[in-house]
Amino acid sequence: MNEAVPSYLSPTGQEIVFLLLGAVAVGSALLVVTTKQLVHAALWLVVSFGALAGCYLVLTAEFVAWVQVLIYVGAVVALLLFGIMLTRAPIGRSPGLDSGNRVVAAIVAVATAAVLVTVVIDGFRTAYADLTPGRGTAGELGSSIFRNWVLPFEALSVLLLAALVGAIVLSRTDIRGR
Amino acid sequence: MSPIGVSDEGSAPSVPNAIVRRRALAHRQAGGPEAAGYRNAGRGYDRDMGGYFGSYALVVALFAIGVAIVAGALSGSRLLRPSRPTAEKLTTYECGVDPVGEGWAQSQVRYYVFTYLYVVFAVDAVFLFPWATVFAAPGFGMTTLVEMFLFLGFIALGIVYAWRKRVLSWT
Repeated sequence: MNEAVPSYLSPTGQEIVFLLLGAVAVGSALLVVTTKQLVHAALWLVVSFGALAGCYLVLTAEFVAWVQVLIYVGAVVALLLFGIMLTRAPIGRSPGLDSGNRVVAAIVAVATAAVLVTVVIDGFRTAYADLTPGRGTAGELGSSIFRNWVLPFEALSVLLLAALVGAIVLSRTDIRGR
Repeated sequence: MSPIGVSDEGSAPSVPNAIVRRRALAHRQAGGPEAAGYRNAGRGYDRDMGGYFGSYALVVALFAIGVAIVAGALSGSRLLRPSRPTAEKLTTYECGVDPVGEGWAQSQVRYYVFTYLYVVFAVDAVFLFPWATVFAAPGFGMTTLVEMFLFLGFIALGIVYAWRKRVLSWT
């Protein structure tokens, strides 16, 4: 953290790229929820996640950025597309996607965004963090995880195990409860 | 973790100054538009192209060149080729046989497990990278090794479960 705050009126190249990527992320996220085609929603999600990964890269969180690409752009979108393929056929425009709860949903979304933005602004105010490359490498994260955050790391394996067993039980109709 | 094996910002320059100066000289003699800017090129060259942002700018530039090549080839052929579409030409090519029915068919729900296994192993692999960089470093050692194998052991339990329930066998 740095006390000397540069002027906002002369943004650096990194700040401009970050703003552009943020605009792409928000715009494609809006398209995810407004498009009538489910598959297009999943593909717009790829654009949104990719722009977010670019944001992480600009913030020098290098490892997190590539994790975002591997897990979210790769695995989670594949999971979503499989979910669509397994549950819906034929695919196409589905007018039933619009529910009558649009107003309520918009209110909830705006309220959530307001809470998050308030927390961030209240927590950091005018704090200015210099972008120093090398703080977000795999080595730095590794020493942080295996020195301070071992318990959450082990708990994560139990969570993955539970989800895997759940997915097996749900997708195998011949496994029955007692 | 620099993507193309160059040193991080602020560390030793990877190109000897003499070479940089010779390159700058060559540019000035070639009379490029930025020839004057090369007067201070000795350190700026390394910092601009070899640092964190410089190396990723290079990645973005290469990506843009790749996109331009593909887009140029496709739009070039679109401009040059004749276009006389008929109903037969516009049908989906399916090994020479007329396509039957829709292109989108609903699949069996059991394939969901394979996607989910992929997600689990992707998350698994993500944690192996930071672990691999530190477990041999001083201050980590055996404890870190055991922690990772505990993590892998829990996930292996899920694989054993899937195997015992014959999810992995082809029926």
